[in-house]
Amino acid sequence: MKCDDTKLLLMDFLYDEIAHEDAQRVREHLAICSDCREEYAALQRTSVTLRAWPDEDPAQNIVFVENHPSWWGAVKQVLFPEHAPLWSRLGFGLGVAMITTLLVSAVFNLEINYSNGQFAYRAGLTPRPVIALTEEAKSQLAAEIRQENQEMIARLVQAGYEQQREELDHTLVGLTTDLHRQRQNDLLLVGRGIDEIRQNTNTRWQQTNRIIDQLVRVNAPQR
Amino acid sequence: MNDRDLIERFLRGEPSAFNTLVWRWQKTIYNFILRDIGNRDEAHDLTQQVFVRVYRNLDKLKNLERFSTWIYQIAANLCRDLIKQRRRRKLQSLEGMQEAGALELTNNAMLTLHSEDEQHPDRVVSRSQLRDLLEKALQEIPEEQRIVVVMKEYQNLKFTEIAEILGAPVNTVKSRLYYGLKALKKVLGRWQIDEEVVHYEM
Repeated sequence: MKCDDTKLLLMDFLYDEIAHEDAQRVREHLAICSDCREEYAALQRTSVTLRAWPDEDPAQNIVFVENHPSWWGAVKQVLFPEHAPLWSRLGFGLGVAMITTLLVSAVFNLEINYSNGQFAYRAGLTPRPVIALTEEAKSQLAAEIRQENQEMIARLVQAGYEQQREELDHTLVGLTTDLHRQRQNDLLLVGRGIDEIRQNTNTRWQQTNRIIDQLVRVNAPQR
Repeated sequence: MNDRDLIERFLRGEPSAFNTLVWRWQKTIYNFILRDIGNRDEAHDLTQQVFVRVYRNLDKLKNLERFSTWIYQIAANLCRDLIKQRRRRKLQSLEGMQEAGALELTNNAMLTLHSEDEQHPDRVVSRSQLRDLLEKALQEIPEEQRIVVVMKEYQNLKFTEIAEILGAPVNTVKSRLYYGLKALKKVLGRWQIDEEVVHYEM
C-alpha cells in the first residue's frame, strides 16, 4: 500500500465506514509509515476539536399557524386547493374556462355560422335585429310552411297506414299459427279416438270369438 | 411515529402533523445551516425558508423515504444561494468591517491565550470563544469542503448520504472532507487551537 492510496481510506477509517480487511490494511500501513501515522493523528485531532462546538438551540421556534383566510382566500382555497393533484386542477381550470367562454358569448351575442364550407363569426353588445318581411315574402313563407305541414301530415298518414298494415300482418300470422295448432290438436285427438275404437272393436271381436268357441264346445258331445 | 407517517397525515389534511415534523427537524436544519454560513440571524431566516419550501412542495415528493435527503438538499441549495449572494453583493465596507471583527476576535482569543497564563493557555478560552473560533475557522475554508465537513462532523451523515444530497461521487465527497480537515487543521493551528484547549473545555 502506497501513501497516496491511503488518503480516501484514511477518511473511511477515521469515521469507521470501512470494510474489515481494508481497516486491517490501513492499520498495517500506519504501523510502518510514520508520515501517514502523523497525518492520521492530525486529522483525528482536528475532528475532535471541531466537535467542541455542540448543537445550539434555535432562538425561535418555527410554528405553522393555520391561516384564517379572507373571503378571497377562502374562495381561492376552494377553487385552487394547494395540495390538489395536477389533473384535478387542470380539469377545474378547463371547466371555469368553458363557463367563462359561454358567459362571454351570451353577453356579446356571439354567433357562429357555417355555410358553404366557411365559418362566419359575429359578435356585438346588441342582439342581431330581426329583418322585417314584405307581404310577398310573408305569403311565400306561409306557403312554404303550409307545404311543409302537408308533407308532414302525409308522412304521418303514411306512417300510420304502414303501422296498421304491419299490425294486421302480425295478427294474421298469429291467427294462422293458432289455427294450425288447433288443427294439429284436433288431428291428434281424432287419431287417438280411432285408435280407441279399433282397440274396443278388437276386444269385442275376441270376446265374440270366445263365446262362439264355448258354444261350439258345449254342443259338440251331444251330437 | 416516523417522518413518513407524519408526512402522510399532513398530506391527508392534518396541519398539526406538519408542525410535529418541523419540531423534529428544525434544530438539525438550523445547526446545519448555521455551521455552513456562520451567521445566526441568517441561519434563522434560511431555516424558516427551508420549512416553507418543504410545506409548499411536500406533495411533489414522490418517495417519502427520501425526505431526509430532500430536506438537506433544500437547505444546502439555500446556503449555496446565500453564499453566492454575499459574494455578488461585495459590500466592501461591510465586508471590511466583518473581517476586522473576525481578526479582532481572533487576536483577542490569541491574546488571552498568550497572556501571563502561558503555562495554562486552556484556562482562558471560554466555551463561547472556542465556539466563535470554530465558526470563523469553518468560514475560512472553501464552501464545497466546508459543507462536507459540516455534514460529516456535525450531522453524522454517511458518505453515501452526503454524496446523494450533493449529487457528487462518494470519492469526491471523501476527498473534499480530507482537504477540508487539512485546511481546518492549518487554520486552527494558526490560531493555536488544539486538542488540549478542547479537552479542557469539554
